Amino acid sequence: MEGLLLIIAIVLPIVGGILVFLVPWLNENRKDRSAFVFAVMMLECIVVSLITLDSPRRLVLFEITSHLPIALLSDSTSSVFSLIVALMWTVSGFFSFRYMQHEQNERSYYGFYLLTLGSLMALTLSGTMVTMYLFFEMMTFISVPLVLHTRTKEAVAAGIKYLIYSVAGATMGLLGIFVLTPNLTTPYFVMGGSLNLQALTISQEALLVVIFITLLGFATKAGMFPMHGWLPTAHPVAPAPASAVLSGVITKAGVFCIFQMIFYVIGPDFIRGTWVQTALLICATITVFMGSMLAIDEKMLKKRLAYSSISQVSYVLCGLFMLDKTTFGGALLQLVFHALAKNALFLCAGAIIYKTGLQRVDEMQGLGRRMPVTMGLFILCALSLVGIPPLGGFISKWYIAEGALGSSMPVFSWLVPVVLLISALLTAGYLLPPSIMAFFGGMVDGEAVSTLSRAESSTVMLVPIALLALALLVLGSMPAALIDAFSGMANLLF
Amino acid sequence: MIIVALLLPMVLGALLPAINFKNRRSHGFYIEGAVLICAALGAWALLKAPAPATLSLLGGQSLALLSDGAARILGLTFCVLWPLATLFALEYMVHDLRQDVFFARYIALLGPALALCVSANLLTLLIMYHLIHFGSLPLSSHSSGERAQIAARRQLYYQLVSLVLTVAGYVLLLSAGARGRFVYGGGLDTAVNERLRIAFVLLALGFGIGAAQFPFHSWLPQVTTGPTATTALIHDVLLVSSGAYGLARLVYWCFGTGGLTGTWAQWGPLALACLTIVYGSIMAFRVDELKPRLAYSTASNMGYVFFGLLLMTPQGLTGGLLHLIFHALAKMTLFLAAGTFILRTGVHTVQDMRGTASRLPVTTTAFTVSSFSMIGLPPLLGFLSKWTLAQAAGAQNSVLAWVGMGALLISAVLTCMYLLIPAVEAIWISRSADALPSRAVGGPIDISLMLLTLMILGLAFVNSPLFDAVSRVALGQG
Repeated sequence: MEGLLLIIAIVLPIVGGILVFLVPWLNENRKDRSAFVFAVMMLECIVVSLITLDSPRRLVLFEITSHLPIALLSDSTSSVFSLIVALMWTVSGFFSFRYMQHEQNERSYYGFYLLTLGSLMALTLSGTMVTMYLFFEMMTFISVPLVLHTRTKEAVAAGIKYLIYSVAGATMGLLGIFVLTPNLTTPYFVMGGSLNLQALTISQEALLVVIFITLLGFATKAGMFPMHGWLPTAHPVAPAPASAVLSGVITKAGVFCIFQMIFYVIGPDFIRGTWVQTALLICATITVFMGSMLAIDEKMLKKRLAYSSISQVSYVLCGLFMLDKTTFGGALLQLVFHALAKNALFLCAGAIIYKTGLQRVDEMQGLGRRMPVTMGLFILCALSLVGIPPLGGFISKWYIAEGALGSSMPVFSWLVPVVLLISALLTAGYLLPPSIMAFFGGMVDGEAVSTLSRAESSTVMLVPIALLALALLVLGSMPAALIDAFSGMANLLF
Repeated sequence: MIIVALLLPMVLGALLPAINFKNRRSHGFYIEGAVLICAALGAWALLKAPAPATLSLLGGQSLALLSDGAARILGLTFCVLWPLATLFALEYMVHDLRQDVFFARYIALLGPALALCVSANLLTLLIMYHLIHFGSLPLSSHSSGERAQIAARRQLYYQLVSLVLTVAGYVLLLSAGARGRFVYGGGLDTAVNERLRIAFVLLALGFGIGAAQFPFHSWLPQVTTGPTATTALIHDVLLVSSGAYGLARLVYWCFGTGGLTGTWAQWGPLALACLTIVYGSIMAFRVDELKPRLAYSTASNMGYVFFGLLLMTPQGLTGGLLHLIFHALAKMTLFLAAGTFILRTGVHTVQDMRGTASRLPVTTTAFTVSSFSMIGLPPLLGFLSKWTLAQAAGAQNSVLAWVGMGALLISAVLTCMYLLIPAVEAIWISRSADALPSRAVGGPIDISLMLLTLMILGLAFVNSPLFDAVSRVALGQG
């Protein structure tokens, strides 16, 4: 069957997750379960790669009513997103095998970890708005347990906040789906959008308001101002590898939905030059700046990284909302490089917690001596996030800035690069000092740093972080292939 | 035949206290068997569409019965829900001393419930509507506690107001020369004048009281003090559905939409429906006691139904009817799950539900699944009905329709808050083991909860045929 791969990509991790819950012998031995989870994730990576190599496909699963199909679609866009999802999931999952040994309820963690992968994969492969809404909500509900994992009061409160924000966002999105559906020529996602401009059922102004609310709603998952409140609460309370994917990957689910709405449903031309574009750009630039400002003030490392995600994901949104080919490429590059860097940084934070129990940035003095490799990789990824060549983060920001400067948009053509620059300085301000302190701090608890013994993370933990850092370095210094792929997409979509 | 189907529940119910059972087991079998026979016979009579039965009264008035598509939709829902609720009640009421009386009334109410569905004119509908409501009063006051008595008295007062309003409306209707016979499309389109509009609003308000519409909602959360089996099936399914069904018949089969659309007779009730949607959800979120919370949720959801019906388009009718049956199923499951929580753990408030899930896996699953259905997660049925309502509102493209769509969405978020937060806290907050009841699975309660959960999940796969069937009814073709 033609679209079988798409179904396998969704069903495989879901069945895997259910098996983790149901099969007792998988959980008798930690090694068995780890091997099983790893096998599922590796298979998933292979399946997704095969889908990427395959030609674009559309598959109707079933129909709610004859006008409401639930359908899947694989094309270049979904490939970008699903590849990121599968790879990041595998890397963080590998890290979990050691990290989760010091947490409880490992079984439910791995179960929900795989289920979330399945729902996220389904989201990136969805082919209609209702399908997207379905899997968006499902992903929320299934990923809430990852936030709730420690079952503390704090975690439950954070989980509920996450739930409410996400559902509110999805509901705002649903408004758009309600209103847009009768105004489309087809329920399916079509490149360039399918808005039926000749026969709108409501006025164009009203439609723009609805579109604004919709995009704002989906931006909740991406942590865009003013819907960002849940992110710094929810991401840090999860176990570190789960924070890594929440911050590095699930935020991109919000970006994905916005992406589909703009380029596959509404069409960029309908929004270009309207107040909606301006308003969204204002929100995104505010978020870029605000996230960095909040991060500087935050003392908990994981929370600081969460604030950083708010800022960095909005770079992507800035690039998208400019509706310009160059910034579009920059946005997708930022998507990839932020996923890599933020995943790695959260895993570093996890490695530090696992080994030393330290959670605050001001306690990191002398850490460089105790965990040189971990901290070295931390600095490397931090530099990418700041945007230092030849690391990945530099190229993405370069393209967003260059595209903005070359665009004809008033104000934003210079405002976006300026905000990007300031935010880069701020990023350096909140990530580099603690890293430098880690290597050069003088005294810890009255002892000279030089006397501290080494307590390096184990190889199982270092390998995933090193792989991510390596990817940042390699893709950053040889970005041609990625840039070609993304400009190819830009040519198709604009 | 249809008369037999309507009278049988009352006969079998009335016989119950008279029979002397050897043991509990045969007692249970008699009750469940009686309900199943009545439900099966009722379903058969509904589906066979027998010839209309008419009984002439004085003054040209008559009682008339006829099974059509709309009757089948609601009637079959009752026929499915009644045995399941009774199954639940068998275990739930085990320690009640007056359970024979309880079950007698419980079973007997199926008769007027089905008669309401098959009413072929307004007079019959009104009689059945009030018969159901007044007939439920003894069930409301079943527990001897003071709270239950006060609640039942309040329900009585509201019902008396409803009686006055509907009778006044009906008399006005007759005085304007209309007959109140149910024909799809109504046929009063051009004849509708101000007097008829007043009659319509009076009748709509009367039905609104039965469906707990704002500002006549407060009896519904209060009567939840009775046994959960009553609340679940009688109050929050039968009573409110009868109000909504009455309105549906009134708008689409008695008056017709032509003379009402765009007039104050449409806007007034529509605005109240929008208010109910939001107000009910907010109150559900604020109330901490589990059963009143669900009751407020019922008021809000009946607001959805009223909203759809009052849009006065076939699409609105489709959405309203879909939401009516879907809500009946999901809300009954929620109430039965809540009742199980209360029965097995002794908790009454959402706060105390925390951490109880590990001991009640079936109950928690039922609660969570029906919550998702209420929120409207596709492809569960709740999504289809909300989708249809929203599409109907969008097609109407008037201010109140947009307000209603906004209310629908706000209420969806609130629904998530008032249903999922308890579920999350029940499942994820840890609690010391000694404060919890022991596990008990496999009784009639768990069987009925499992069946209901499976039904909610199973119906997700028949969205399309169900939608087509209800659409046909809404277009007058079924």
